[in-house]
Amino acid sequence: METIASPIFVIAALAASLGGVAALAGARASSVGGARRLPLYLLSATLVAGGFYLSGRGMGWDAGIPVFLAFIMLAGFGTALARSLGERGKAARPAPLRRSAVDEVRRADGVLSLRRSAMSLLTGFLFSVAALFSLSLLLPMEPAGRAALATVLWPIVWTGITLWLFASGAVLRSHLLTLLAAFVLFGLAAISFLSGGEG
Amino acid sequence: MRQGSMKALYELHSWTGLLLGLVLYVVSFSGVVALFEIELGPWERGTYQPAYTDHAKAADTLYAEAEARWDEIPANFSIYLPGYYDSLISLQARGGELVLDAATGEEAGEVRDGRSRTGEVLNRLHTDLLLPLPWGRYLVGFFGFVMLLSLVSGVFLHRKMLAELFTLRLRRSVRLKWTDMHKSVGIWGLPFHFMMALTGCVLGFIGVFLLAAAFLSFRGDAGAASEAMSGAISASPGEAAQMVTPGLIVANALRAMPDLEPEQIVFDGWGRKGGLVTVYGTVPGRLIYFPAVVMQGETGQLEGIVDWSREGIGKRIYAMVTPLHYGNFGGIALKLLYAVLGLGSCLLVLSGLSVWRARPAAMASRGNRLFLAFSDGIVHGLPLATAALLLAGRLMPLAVVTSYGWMVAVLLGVLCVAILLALASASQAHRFSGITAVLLLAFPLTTLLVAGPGAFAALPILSVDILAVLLAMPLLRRALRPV
Repeated sequence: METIASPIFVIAALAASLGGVAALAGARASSVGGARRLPLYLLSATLVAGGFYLSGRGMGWDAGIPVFLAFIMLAGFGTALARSLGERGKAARPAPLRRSAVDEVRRADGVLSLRRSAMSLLTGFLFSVAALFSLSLLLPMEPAGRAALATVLWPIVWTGITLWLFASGAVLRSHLLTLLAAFVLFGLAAISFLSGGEG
Repeated sequence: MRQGSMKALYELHSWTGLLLGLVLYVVSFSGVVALFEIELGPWERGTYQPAYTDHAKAADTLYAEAEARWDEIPANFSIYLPGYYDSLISLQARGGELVLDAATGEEAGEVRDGRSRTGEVLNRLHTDLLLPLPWGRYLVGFFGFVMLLSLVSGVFLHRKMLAELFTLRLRRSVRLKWTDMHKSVGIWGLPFHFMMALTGCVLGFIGVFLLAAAFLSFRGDAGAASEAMSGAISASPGEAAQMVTPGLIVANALRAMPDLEPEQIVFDGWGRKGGLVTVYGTVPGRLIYFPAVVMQGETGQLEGIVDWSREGIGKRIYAMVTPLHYGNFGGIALKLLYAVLGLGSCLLVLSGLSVWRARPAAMASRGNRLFLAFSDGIVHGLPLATAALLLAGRLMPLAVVTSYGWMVAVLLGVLCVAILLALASASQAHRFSGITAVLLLAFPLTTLLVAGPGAFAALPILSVDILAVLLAMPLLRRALRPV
């Protein structure tokens, strides 16, 4: 079975990540003042940084960084879960008075704005394709790299623009602006493609 | 952010979760199981041969056998090398196929023909939702985009993210419990969910957008674009010439790229001057896109190395997409880590649905009740159908297990029955859990039945059986003590 890491580094990285997140949870839960929490925050930062280093050192940075992030994710959720289960015997405290952002929002009236969703998706898609075309022609790198990077960036552009269109107050104006920008990008791509010059 | 914008984002988050959450659940869950498609191979077959690592010798043996059996070796063919979980080596050409057991050198055609299509069904459920290609792939790519939308809108909505980093109130109201669970899994798993959604979207649409982008960036030169993006170097074969042995090719490839674990050798213009041989494989521990070593067939000398992870930033970022999505760069331990995080993605969808279910108005209309029963059928039926499919792959007649259509019918049949049962009567969850647990507990029994007690000595078989029993325990507990 293939192995890529020294087990001792992996275990140490996991322990450091878990310790770092637990220290952060301790600091946040502490009732003492801000300045007195500082050592806990420092300890947390040191342990997390140690976990990052040990992951990269033990597994190589390619595998080490994703594994470190996975350790932090599991440690974070695990700490939250452990704290919650640890409150078993305690009397239930009243819920915090703060309300979540979602609760502050007036609830949707039940009718989904499908037309607005479809419009945002389509306009966002058009813009993202225009961005893909122009990036694959204009990014300052060799052609295969341009195409590859533009393909990876394309869903991020589509998501960003769709969300912006969805959340925008001035619906018509933002759609028109996006369509205009898309046509400009298509135009730039066409000029670059037809001129045959390097980006 | 303005109140109106927040409301719009809330609506977006709600409809993406409600309408498409179940599909995301199916894609995520099947992805978790499909991660282990190769590792499940020995368990499915009930036999395991220790890893065969002398690829050069195996390639030479296979090639000599092909020369002895066939009148002529074609100019273009491929050799698929054995791996840790599979000791078979095969030579595939347009005219035919020859399969040997690398350890014994004996022909393994029958063994290969008798292999179950379970892994393929689970894999295609994840990549194409079992729909025809390429439309299924595009649809799953679109769901990757929807997941991105849902994640980013969720981040904007959850403005007290840092303050509620460790808030998880499991002993309060049902709705608060699921809301906190949804937020906690969402926040802590965000890098994984985001990475999976992004890479899934890229891989789903790669057949369209990478080709279009490459065509444009090479200014319409389709040949140059195809060559550059595939990384292959095309041969220009001339007159007949003496070639080196495939074994020498493998040995030279390993000298040129010592970390390479060779998986496939592609011969282009074999037996001709200018013929090229490319050795593809993986490099453990590296985020690398189809690394390859290209050599001259006539001399075995190095022609070039394809390693996008050592090139410009564009290619390096792209090279990470496939290994990051499939988690195949760090051995079985990393795959297990991916599986846990992938189950987190399932939990994210389920907790979101549960928040909606806990609303007072959720059960008010008949439509809502039907939707909730349907979602129960999918959520509890899919693990049950997966366990049933794995067992069917071992126990059903050969004609069924080797037929892709029959195996799809088994999976969808069980899933449909589960959905119908859920629609017919509410609160079936504990029954589904119980049946799934029983099926999982049957895994080691089928090992005894199919392969005999000696099979437990093989770690890849034993570990699947142990894992099945461990997974059955919480399900059994839930079935016996329904909430």
